[in-house]
Amino acid sequence: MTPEEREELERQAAEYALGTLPADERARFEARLAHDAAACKLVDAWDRRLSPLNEAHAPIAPPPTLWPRIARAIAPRALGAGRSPWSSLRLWRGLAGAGLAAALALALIVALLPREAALGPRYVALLADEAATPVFQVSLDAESGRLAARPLAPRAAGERVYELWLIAGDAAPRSLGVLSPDAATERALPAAIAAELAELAVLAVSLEPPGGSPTGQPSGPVILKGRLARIDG
Amino acid sequence: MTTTPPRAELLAGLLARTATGDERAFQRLYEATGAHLFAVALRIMKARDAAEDVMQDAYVRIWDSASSYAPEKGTPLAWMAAIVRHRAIDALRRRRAHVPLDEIAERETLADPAADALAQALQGAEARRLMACLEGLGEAQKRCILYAYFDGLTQEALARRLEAPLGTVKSWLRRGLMHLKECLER
Repeated sequence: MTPEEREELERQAAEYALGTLPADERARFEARLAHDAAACKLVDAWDRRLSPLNEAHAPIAPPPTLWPRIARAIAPRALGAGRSPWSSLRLWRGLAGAGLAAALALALIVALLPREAALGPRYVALLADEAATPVFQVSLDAESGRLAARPLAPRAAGERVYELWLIAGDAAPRSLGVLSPDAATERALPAAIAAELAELAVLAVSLEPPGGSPTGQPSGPVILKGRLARIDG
Repeated sequence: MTTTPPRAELLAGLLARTATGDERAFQRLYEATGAHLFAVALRIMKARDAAEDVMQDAYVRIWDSASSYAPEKGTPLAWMAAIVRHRAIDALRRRRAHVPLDEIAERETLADPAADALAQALQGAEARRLMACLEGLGEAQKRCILYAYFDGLTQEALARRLEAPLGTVKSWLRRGLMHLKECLER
């Protein structure tokens, strides 16, 4: 990109953030944003530069009818597109005590697991958020070295990814890779990690930039946690 | 609804939980931010139903993209306000095809955002810095940027409002934004 082109891109990003572009130029620039991450970053930077102007507004309460509209609009996304056996886990959310809910939900998962000949210790975990709501179900097979993870309420993929970590005993977190937020993830586990699986080891999910944490350790907020439970046969 | 801006750490935590599908956290996020953002939507749309529609679209987008918030994008409230503004501009651009020109001009002479009252309303350190840089621009460049930001005007609408040729307005915008960036980066 020539310096002139770069300057023009910067101008367009600024005017896009401001809202001054004429309709056709705006439409073309928006189409560019859909695939040009550098252009998106320029717009984000301008949004950030100008945002203090929003402090000039005294708050004005929206009508009480607005929240129900928003809640209804997100409901299809919250429940997930297709009905799956896992969505019935939402029934457990109202039960008193996070431990009870998690234990019952785990029992349900174990009951629904496909019956395969057990080759070795298998572990399952329910990864739940701060409110103890189950969000991911993970199963790990130490013998075959297979990891399978399934979101309980499929979400649209955002800019940041969910990265799964194994924290066994006092060891530093080991990455088990990035999980898809809206579909099942299956992959092979390295033998070294499979050997570290043990009952009650902690699994955690952190929010990371695309491709996973650049540091090899969790760099973003840890949003989900769970412990491995061993199941046999 | 709160009147002072909610703490960034509180909102960041609610956004992270929203990213996991936590509807209760999302509702708390809405309760903490709704009034601040409704004021932004109302200023641009200038009509309550239109502002409510924009708010609905914006919060659904916030729900869908909560996992893409990161501190380098600014405070959570600024990030959310940008989403509301973008949805508002989109709605304005879709709608204006059908609204007669003189009606638009009349609606746009509501409170002048370039007035001194603005400088007094902006309290935070970042806001004062931005205001100082804006004051350093030529009067015309400053007006272009402020009218555009607060009222959602296009280059053409700015030309009508400032009674200047379109080419001149484009030049004011290009230079004004460039100088603004240079000033903020000092």
